[in-house]
Amino acid sequence: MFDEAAVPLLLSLKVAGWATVLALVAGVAFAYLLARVRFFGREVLDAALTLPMVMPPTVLGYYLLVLLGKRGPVGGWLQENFGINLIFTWQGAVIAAAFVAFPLVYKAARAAFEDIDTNLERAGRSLGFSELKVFFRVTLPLAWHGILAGAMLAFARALGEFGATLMVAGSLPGRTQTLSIAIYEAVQAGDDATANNLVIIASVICIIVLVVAGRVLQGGYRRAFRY
Amino acid sequence: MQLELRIIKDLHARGRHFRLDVDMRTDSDAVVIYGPSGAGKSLTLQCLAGFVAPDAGRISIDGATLFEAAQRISVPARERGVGYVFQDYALFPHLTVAGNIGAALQQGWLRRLDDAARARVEDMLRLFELQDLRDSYPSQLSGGQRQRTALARALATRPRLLLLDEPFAALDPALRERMRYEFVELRERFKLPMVLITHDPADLQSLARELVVIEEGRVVRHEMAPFQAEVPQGATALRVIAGGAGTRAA
Repeated sequence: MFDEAAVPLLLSLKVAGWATVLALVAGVAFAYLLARVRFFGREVLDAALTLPMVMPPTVLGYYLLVLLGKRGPVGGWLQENFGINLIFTWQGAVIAAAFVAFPLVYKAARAAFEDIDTNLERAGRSLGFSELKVFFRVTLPLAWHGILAGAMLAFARALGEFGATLMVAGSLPGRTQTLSIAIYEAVQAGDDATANNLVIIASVICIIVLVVAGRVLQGGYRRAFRY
Repeated sequence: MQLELRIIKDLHARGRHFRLDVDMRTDSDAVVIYGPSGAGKSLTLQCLAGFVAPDAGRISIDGATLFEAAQRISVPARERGVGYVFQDYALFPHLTVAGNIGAALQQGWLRRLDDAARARVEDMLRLFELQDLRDSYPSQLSGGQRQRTALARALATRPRLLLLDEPFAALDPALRERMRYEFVELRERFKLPMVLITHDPADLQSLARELVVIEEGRVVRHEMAPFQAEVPQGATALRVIAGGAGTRAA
């Protein structure tokens, strides 16, 4: 019984962890770009980047399948040049979950960047900071709590990912069958005991993540910074 | 210090248009740019510091060109050697007083301070009487302490020119008078040229050797101390200064 729960749980944690890392890097980069640079089509790009949050995961999964499939533009290129196939692999599940989780990091990071008084960045420049130093010494430390809270929500979202992951990676037990997919399979097979255990584990993890994210967001740091 | 400033900058916001068209030249070490809010004082200072690029014009300090639209020269803010004290001081809220002062002196990814830099931070702390507050964060400081920290931070890098945006506006009146006095002392000690902007006429008498009045984006008056009583336009404030010590204390 323990293995039944542990295998999909560990896989879910692995997939969600990597997906969060990808979403974090991409989300922070795009958030910084859109918060600081004015360019034509900025709000259209913003809508496009937010789309995975509102689009049905199956639709997103379908797009990814078309893109990453052996005959897709990205999948075909990867297959030809590196011999990499992402469909029905846990790496494919990571990419699906990263897309779904991305808007949560992106939105939180953009709000955090826009919240920063631009005079603080100017102060850095007038003190001789390079742009890189301004970003790592001023901007990022001040936005860090908002970004971290977004990353935790992204992790929780990635952990619960079902639709897009199923489309891209399928449900191969021990390989791509994540916790939420395992729950579905267990219910479909009439295995109520397993379903029960998995559901409780998933619920507890989500509650823990939310509590920690809440702590981070309203933590003492944020209040101490305001004056 | 020789400062040459010719700035044209058009701003559009929500259908409204503002044009800054400033042309001034000065040899003074204590220039005060005076005018009502919205006149373009801050924008002028931001162009001088390199935060905002003018549309046209030329900026030079002691013959060194910082901006020249015709030749597409625009020295980035970090290389201008111009210190800037913001109206709200813009202290880094996540760094202590000592951290703020030393921030510009740190080198490399390890954020090391070499011996000279550490001595410099100590000098600044002592000079501005901030030793006891070295480990305090900006949120824990009073208005006057924040201002001293901002000055110490700007001076730690040994700028060739110090710009001050309404340096006393955020202080209460009693403290304002004291800080003006300290300020003049400081200027004499450092022999540091300053350009200060204000809309408070009381700042002029004590701080300015040269006065530039800006209204609606243009220089309407430019003169050396002592300032004249007769002022053609927008000049109620100048009449107040010329009125002498009695009104100044008010």
